[in-house]
Amino acid sequence: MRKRLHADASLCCGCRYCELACSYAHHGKYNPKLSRIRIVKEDEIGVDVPLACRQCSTCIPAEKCPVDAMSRDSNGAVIILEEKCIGCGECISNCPFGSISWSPLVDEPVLCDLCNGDPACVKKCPTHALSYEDPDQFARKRQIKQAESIYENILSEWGIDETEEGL
Amino acid sequence: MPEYYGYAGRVLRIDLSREKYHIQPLEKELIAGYLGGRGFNSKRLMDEVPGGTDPLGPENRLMFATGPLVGTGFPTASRFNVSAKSPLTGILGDSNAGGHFSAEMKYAGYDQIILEGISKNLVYIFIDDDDVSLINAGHLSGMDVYETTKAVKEEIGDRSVQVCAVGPAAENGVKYAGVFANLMRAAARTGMGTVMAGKGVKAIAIRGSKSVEIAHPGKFERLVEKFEEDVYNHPQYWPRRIMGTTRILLPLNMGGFLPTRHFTTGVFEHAEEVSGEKLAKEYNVKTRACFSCILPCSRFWVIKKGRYRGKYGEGPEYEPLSAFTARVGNPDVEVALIANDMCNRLGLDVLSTAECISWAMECYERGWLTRDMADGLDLSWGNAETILTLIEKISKREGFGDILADGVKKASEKLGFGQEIALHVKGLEIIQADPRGLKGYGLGYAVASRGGDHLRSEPFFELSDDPERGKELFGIPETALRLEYKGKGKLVSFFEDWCAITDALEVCKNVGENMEVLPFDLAGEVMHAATGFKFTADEMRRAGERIVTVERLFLVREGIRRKDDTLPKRFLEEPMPEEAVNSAGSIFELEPMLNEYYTERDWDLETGVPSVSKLKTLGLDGYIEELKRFDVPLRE
Repeated sequence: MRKRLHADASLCCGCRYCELACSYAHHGKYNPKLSRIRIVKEDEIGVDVPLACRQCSTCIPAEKCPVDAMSRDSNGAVIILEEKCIGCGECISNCPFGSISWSPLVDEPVLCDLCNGDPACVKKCPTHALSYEDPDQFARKRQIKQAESIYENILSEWGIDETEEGL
Repeated sequence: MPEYYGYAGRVLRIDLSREKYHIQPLEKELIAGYLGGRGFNSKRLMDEVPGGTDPLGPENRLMFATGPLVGTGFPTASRFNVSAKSPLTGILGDSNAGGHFSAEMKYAGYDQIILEGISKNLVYIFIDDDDVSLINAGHLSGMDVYETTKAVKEEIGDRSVQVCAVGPAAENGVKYAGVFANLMRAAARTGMGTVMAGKGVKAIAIRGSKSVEIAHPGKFERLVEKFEEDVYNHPQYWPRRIMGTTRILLPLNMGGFLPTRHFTTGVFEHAEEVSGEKLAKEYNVKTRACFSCILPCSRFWVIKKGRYRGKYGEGPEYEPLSAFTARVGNPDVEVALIANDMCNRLGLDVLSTAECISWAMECYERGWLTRDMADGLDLSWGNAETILTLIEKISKREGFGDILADGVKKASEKLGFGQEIALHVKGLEIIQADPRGLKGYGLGYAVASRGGDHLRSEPFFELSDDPERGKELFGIPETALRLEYKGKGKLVSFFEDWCAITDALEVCKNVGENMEVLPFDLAGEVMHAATGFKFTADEMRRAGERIVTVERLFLVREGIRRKDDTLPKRFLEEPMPEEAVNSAGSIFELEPMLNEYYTERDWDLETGVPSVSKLKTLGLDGYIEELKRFDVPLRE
């Protein structure tokens, strides 16, 4: 199974350290606008949402690319073939997760290339909101997290304090 | 190859009177002498704002500065300083905040932005890389910080643009109104928002597409990794991440120096109920961070039940939490959350606001202030409705709020009572830690270049209780003991220099200085790696001392002397009460501490003016003629 980049918005603190890491890893200099992962922040309601390519099994922007300029590399990263890309931006509109950015530096669409299987953003994330792992592992963790909130309710109905040691 | 690494290399000057702007190159001498950030602002204020300038006149300059590490991948380098002559104190005004504004300044290509003159109409400034527009903001007048930020983003049509704004308090001329970035990242001390509104500026929006490059990437990456490791492995990492600065409320109470009911005692009987632990357990739902921070310490909170059900917001730091509970005698932590949120929205400094309210409460308790004089308000300790009403009234300059809106010093002078219990230094309301229980901090308030505040020195070492190490580091065991006064002059000058360079690099002081992870030598190495300019540890310390000294020159030019480096009488004459067990009986020994501090700094013992030889050592002797014009007494 191929690893994927997973982002958990509930853990993201909005520091944008990942954007800096991405910018630096790809261009050797810093500006979050060069990053392929982007954090959308809403300060008033305290949310920070990381957006990056999820390497969906079916890539809708790739399917809809008018010049067939999107492909996949051996790590499963969706890549844009520069020589074919006409810069129409159709892929940006077609990604359901807003994971494709426009780079002001190259003036073309860009997206996460998984840094050759070792994503720089994941290594730098201070809250572990980003992970690079097998999708089944990720799914398992989500299931456990969901189950926890359910059994906490059950335990409190039973009158057991779940914060006590042993649980 | 870029001309500058780390720095943007440019300064933006906007003349609001003439509606013109120009971009000038950053002077290399400024880097060598003052590093960046607060250093740039302080030096330029000394040069460009003449002695005696009216803080609200066109001659005053409002400066925003970022630092050489901001916008790079250096963790926690996200801060900026806002400086001008202060309308609250009449001396150096300066405040520092985090968030995401500072980095965007760098990406737009500026190390410093200077506002001059006064705009005819209320405007907001939109800086889009090299394009600068002044946009009519008449329709934003009266809006709070949140509404203003939202409206500006909507008009520009880009929610990721970075905005700092002022609220109605600033527009109404409250003397301690702040500048707020990302809604609640407040540069709120000393009335910088008042100056901004006085210049006719409601907000600044900024967006940049330029990149920051690193002089020695390999070295820089290694230093960043080491710094990350030191932060992640630090014993304070998790307490700070869970509680932020609110973690210190209970320890201060334990030590008997948690200012309670306007510093009449040092223990608050409701401390547990208003602690950082309580907030973490019952109100905080999420951690949030400033730009590029690996120790996210801000907390988003929600009130889930009761009177304030459904209210949410971010913060508070220790200062407003403690100020709106213990200082005003309020046992209800939710009232403090609401009060802090109101100050953010209205654009007020929490500390000055809370001092004005708690001062009024003590005057009321003593019978000096009556209900009639205070719009019929019941000023009993902890009266929630009164606290919240007064915040609103201050922001509108309405009724009794109008008197408090000038700060506690002017309010007490105007009313003709309570001057001896008006708790300020040089007109700046003092912070939430009793100097009788923290002698080094107290000395820091007395000599701080912006008035009664701890953020110029934060000599936390005196809390270490490790005399052996005190002897080793400073040659004086007592430096490690908070109730002792010996050695504190030496301690404070060391920590002042450290704070100055941390502010100049615009790194978070909570991390760089307070957690001791960015000492002078490492700071010099990081400077070199990022910018290519070489700095030894000694040169970094010297730069810190230069910043502190140029700020002192600004003050002495305005007439500040030794007599002004003092604390309110309460701390000098009233011993801590018995109930504040761990600080009981303690009193602040000002004179010997000042002597020691001046000696350490080579400032004149009688006048508090830096000596000529010190000025020469620091390369500040160019100011001698200027000082003479203002009759500043100088000695070799």
